[in-house]
Order: sequence, then C-alpha cells, then structure tokens
Amino acid sequence: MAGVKLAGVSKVFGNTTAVARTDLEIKDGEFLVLVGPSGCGKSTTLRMIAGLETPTEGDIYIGDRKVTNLEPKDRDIAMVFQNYALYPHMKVFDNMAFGLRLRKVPRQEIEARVKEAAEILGIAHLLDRFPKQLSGGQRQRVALGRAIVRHPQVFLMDEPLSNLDAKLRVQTRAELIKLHQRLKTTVIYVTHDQTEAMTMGTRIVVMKDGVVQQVGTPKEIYNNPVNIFVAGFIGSPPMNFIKGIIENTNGKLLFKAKGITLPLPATDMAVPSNTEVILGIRPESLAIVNGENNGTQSISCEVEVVENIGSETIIHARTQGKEEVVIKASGFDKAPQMGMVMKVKASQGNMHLFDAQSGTCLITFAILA
Amino acid sequence: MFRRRFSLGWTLSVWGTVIVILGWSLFPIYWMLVTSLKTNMDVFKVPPDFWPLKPTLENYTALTTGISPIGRFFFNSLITALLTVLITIVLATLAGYALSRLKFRFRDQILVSVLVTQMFPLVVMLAPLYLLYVKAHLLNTYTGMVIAFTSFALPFGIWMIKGFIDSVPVEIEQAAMVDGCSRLKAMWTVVLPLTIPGIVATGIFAFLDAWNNLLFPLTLTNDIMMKTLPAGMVLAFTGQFKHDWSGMMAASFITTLPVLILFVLLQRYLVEGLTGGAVKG
Ligand SMILES: Nc1ncnc2c1ncn2[C@@H]1O[C@H](COP(=O)(O)OP(=O)(O)OP(=O)(O)O)[C@@H](O)[C@H]1O
Ligand SMILES: [Mg+2]
Repeated sequence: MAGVKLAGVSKVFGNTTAVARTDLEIKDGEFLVLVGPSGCGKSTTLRMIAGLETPTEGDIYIGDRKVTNLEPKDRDIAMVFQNYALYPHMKVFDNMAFGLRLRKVPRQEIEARVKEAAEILGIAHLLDRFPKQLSGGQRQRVALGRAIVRHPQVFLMDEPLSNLDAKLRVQTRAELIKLHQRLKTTVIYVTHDQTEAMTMGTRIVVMKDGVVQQVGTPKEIYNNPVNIFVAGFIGSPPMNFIKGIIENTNGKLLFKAKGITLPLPATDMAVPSNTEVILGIRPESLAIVNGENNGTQSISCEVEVVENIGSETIIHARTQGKEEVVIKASGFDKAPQMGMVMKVKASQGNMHLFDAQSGTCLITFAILA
Repeated sequence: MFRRRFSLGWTLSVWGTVIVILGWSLFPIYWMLVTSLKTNMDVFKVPPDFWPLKPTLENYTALTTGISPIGRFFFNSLITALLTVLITIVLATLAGYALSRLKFRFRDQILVSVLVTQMFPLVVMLAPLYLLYVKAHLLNTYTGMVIAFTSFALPFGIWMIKGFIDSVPVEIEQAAMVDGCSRLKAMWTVVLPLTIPGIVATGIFAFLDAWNNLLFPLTLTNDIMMKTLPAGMVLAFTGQFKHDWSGMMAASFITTLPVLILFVLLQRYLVEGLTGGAVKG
C-alpha cells in the first residue's frame, strides 16, 4: 500500500489542455474521488497515474517511487475500466489469475487468492464461465475481482459503476465502501456522479476544464464550497443561486434582490455597498414559513412544481425577481399547491455569498435558526 | 427474442435457394471429379454422361508415371504457398497492429499507399518484375516466387488484420498492460487471440493467392522442375496438338483438394467472432 503524489502534472493533447498543472497528494489508504463534468480531465488524470498516458510535464510518485517514466506493468497498480475490459477469450478464473500468473505467483496461491476474491464478490459460482456468459453486474464484479487479487499498491477505478442500473449501482457502491474498509488499500476513483463522490470518498477532488477547483472531505466541500461551480455541482438538488447586491451600513450587511431583503449575520469581512453578488443557499436549508410570519427574513415566491418522492418533497418555486428556488422539505405534510404564493426562509445549514463576476465564495455564514 | 414460426412456402423457398446455390458452387467440382474418372474418349461423348459409367483411375496413375513431374509441381506449390502464408501472416499482423494502435507520422498515408500495388493489373508488372529478377538472380528460386506471392497477398492481409485489431477495444490491451504485460506481450496474449479470424482469413487468402497463381510461376521460372501446379499443368496438358482433358481434370482435382480441406478445417474461425462479452456491448 502506498500514497500517490502528483507534482505539477499536466497533459496537453494537441491544443486542448486536458489537465492543467496539478499538485495533488493522496494519502495511503485514502479513498479519493475525482469528480467533475464530462471532459474535465478526470480519466486523463487517472490514466496518467496508471501509466497509460504520459504527462506533458510534472512527475508522479507512488509511495516513494517516482513512476513518471515507468510502464504500467511496473507501477504495481490495478485498474477497473468503465467498460470492464475483461479478456473475452479467458474464463472468469483465468481473467482474475492473469495478472498473478504474469508475476509468477505460485499456483496454489493464485487459486487461494482468486477463490478468496470470488467469495468476497459473490462470484465463486461463475469462475468457469466466459465473460459473454455473464450479466453486466457480474462482469463488473469480475473486473473488480481481477483488480483485488493483485493486492496492488493502489486501485484506480474509472467510472466502474456507470454501466449498471440504478439499483445495482447503489448496491455495488455500498460493497465498494465495505471492500475499501476491509482492504484499506488506496483507491482513486473517477466519477461524474456527485452522489457517488459524496458517499464514497474520504476526500473529493472537484475538477472543471482540467483545473482542480477544490480538494476536501465531502463535508468540507458540501459546507464550504470555494466557488459557485463547486457549490452547484455538489449536492442534489443543486444549490439555489439568487443574484443581488449587498448594502453595507456600518458593517451590517443586507442582501437585496427584487422582492427580497435579507439581513445577513455579522461578519468581519468588509464587503462594500452595491457589490454584485450571488447568494447561494441549499434546497435543504430552506423551510416554508407557516402562518402570519411577516418577518423581513423570508422570501416570498410562487409554487410552480411539486415533486413528491415519498420521504421528501421537492418544491420548485419562483421569486418575484423570476429566479428559480428549489426547496427540499420532508414528508408529505403541508405540501403547498401549485400556483400558491408562499414564504420561505433560511432555517439551517449555511448560506454563501459569491462574487458575481469571478464566482469565488466571499463569505460563508452559518444560518442561525 | 422470440422464435418465429415459418410458413411452409417460406421454408420451401429457403431450401430451394440453398440447393441452387450449393449446386452452383459444387457442380464444377463434381464435374471435375467425374471427368477425371473417365477416359479421354468418353469425355467428348454427346450427350455427356453425368455419372462415370466405366470409372477408371488411369488418369491418376498416369499422373505419377507420366513424363511431367506432377509430384514435384505439387511439392513446389506446397512449399511456396506455405512460406507465403507464414511470411504474410507475420508481416501483416505486425503492420496491422502498428497501423491500428500506434500513433506516428504519415500513418494514414502509409495505410493508403499499401493499396497502391493493387491498383495495377498483374500483367503490367510481369515484364519489369522479370527483368528485376534476372538482375537479382531470383529466377527459378522459391525465394523469388515467395516474394512475388507475398507482395500480392500482403496489402489485403494488412488491411484485414488492421480491421480486426481496430475492433478489439483498446481497454482490453491496456488492462493487460496494467496487469503486467509489456506491449508486445499484451499483443501476443490478448490482442492476437481475438484477431484469429482475421489471421486465418489472411492465411487462407495468401494460400489461395500462391496456390492458384499462374502468371508468376509461368514467367518467373523457366526450369520445369521449379514450376508450381497451375503452371506445370498448363505445360503438361495443353499444347498446340494435345488436350488431355481427363488427365488435366485429375490433376485439377488433386490441386483443389488441399484447398477444400483447408476451408473445411478453418471455416469455424472464419465464421465465428471471438470478441463477444469483452466489454459492455
Ligand atoms: N487521446 C486524446 N486525444 C486528444 N484529446 C483527448 C484525448 N483524450 C482526452 N482528450 C481530451 O481531453 C479532455 C479530458 O478528457 P477526459 O477523458 O480526461 O475527460 P473525463 O473527465 O474523463 O470525461 P468523461 O466524464 O466524459 O469520461 C477532453 O476535452 C478530451 O476531449
Ligand atoms: Mg472519463
């Protein structure tokens, strides 16, 4: 087992920069998730660590070894591909044993390791089949098994669950988490699904256009996104953004937008008056105001769509400034009707002020209920 | 998927078509066999016998005792064809792999230029080739013939195998490299087994190309002992005043037999694709 370090690594294809200069340190035993929209350079980063792509500049270390110029076979890593990439002409057993045989592991040990991995993954009864005789979920397990038996320093996984149906994906996700707790091997995991990132990662790297936006634990990234991109990408449904300006009277901040006047908690940070900002607040931080609460802190908006998914209700509403606001409430109770005008207020969690131009987060406030 | 039930009319017309196609392709072989079992007198009978009434093997025995060294022709054909197959497969596989997987300058241009040799009719090349061979002392040699055959089978082979390698997902190869293979080893253990149908097809094509080629051995050899079957037979059975049709058919049948056996043995590979289940389809 070992950690992984990227030092000033970048990758340029022709005139597209797939990955801009990146420094990243992955600790031994960590489950690191690379997440971001399609084309942001996640796979390229992973493939550079695997040795399937040569960095344009920078160096890669696995443990203490500099591996930048090593072939994939000499890096002691195992990789799970999005399309499984099983060897079609070999039975499941041989697929899993292949890497061990190449490394001249004794026959008995190969059998023992394959058996063990097959037991863990519940594919012991499939060892005698060819890949084409397996279902998608089973192939996925074989691909995982092929990586596990190797006992590598690092697991690299490129969207390994994206070809599974929703239910199987959730199930396999849980199994992967268990597996990681059991093996304690470093995992670098690529996904474009923020839920996967949040649930699996001990730390998350959010990328956009080849540039790392933020690195942190799921909690840090959820609670303190550094910019509007991260804030909008992590969390489901995504964070609400309302454009407005700041009014600063002797250090007391007031957020103003059409139909909204929101006093903000005290802060040390000096934001000059008339600064254009975007207020960010998560759907789960908003609550519907009941009865005749006419406090200035509430936002009035008109209900457009109500989605009820059992445990929770997602309400899409529109402010007077015609900005969409999504509210996540629990249960069926008191669900408002379409067309109704209601008032909502920030009730828990955090509120964020982003610079309207650069998108960087200026201040994060804890909401005092 | 569900099973369709076919009407009687449909079934009959399918079988009818199959029989017509079979007859079309098998009758010439049958006729060749029948004629080879007749005497030269019976061959010209009108109407012809569709079945040898007095079958005789004398044409076959004549092959071994006749003045033409048919055995030698057969050996020449076999050795040149097999060498052509071997060299074509090795070169086409390496070139096909490189053209499919490696990135290098002028790759596409090379790929197209490979086909340029196929643009000229063979006849056009014979004279220059002959002169070249005289200079290179390649007349009447196996080397000379194998080079000529190979140069004609190779372009097709390269394209064929490149196509097959293209269809093997790169990730399979990359998985093998991560698992511990060098590029060459990954090619050998993972890519090649999945390319077998293409390699077999290329091999068969190269074999046929060499085995059936008439013009090269006719022009590039003048020693009768270096002729291959087609060239040797032309000299042995046709001439200004003789036409030993039944003898020629016996020799033809013997020429065709290895090709038939080859097809029967290898057809499995030609039909069967091996890549199923490799990746999510
Ligand atoms: N071999 C290549 N040649 C040229 N450009 C490439 C190559 N591989 C990737 N790119 C480009 O680099 C960028 C990053 O690609 P990458 O595959 O890393 O994205 P990704 O984050 O994995 O996206 P996805 O979620 O769609 O898999 C893209 O713009 C892509 O077009
Ligand atoms: Mg990708």
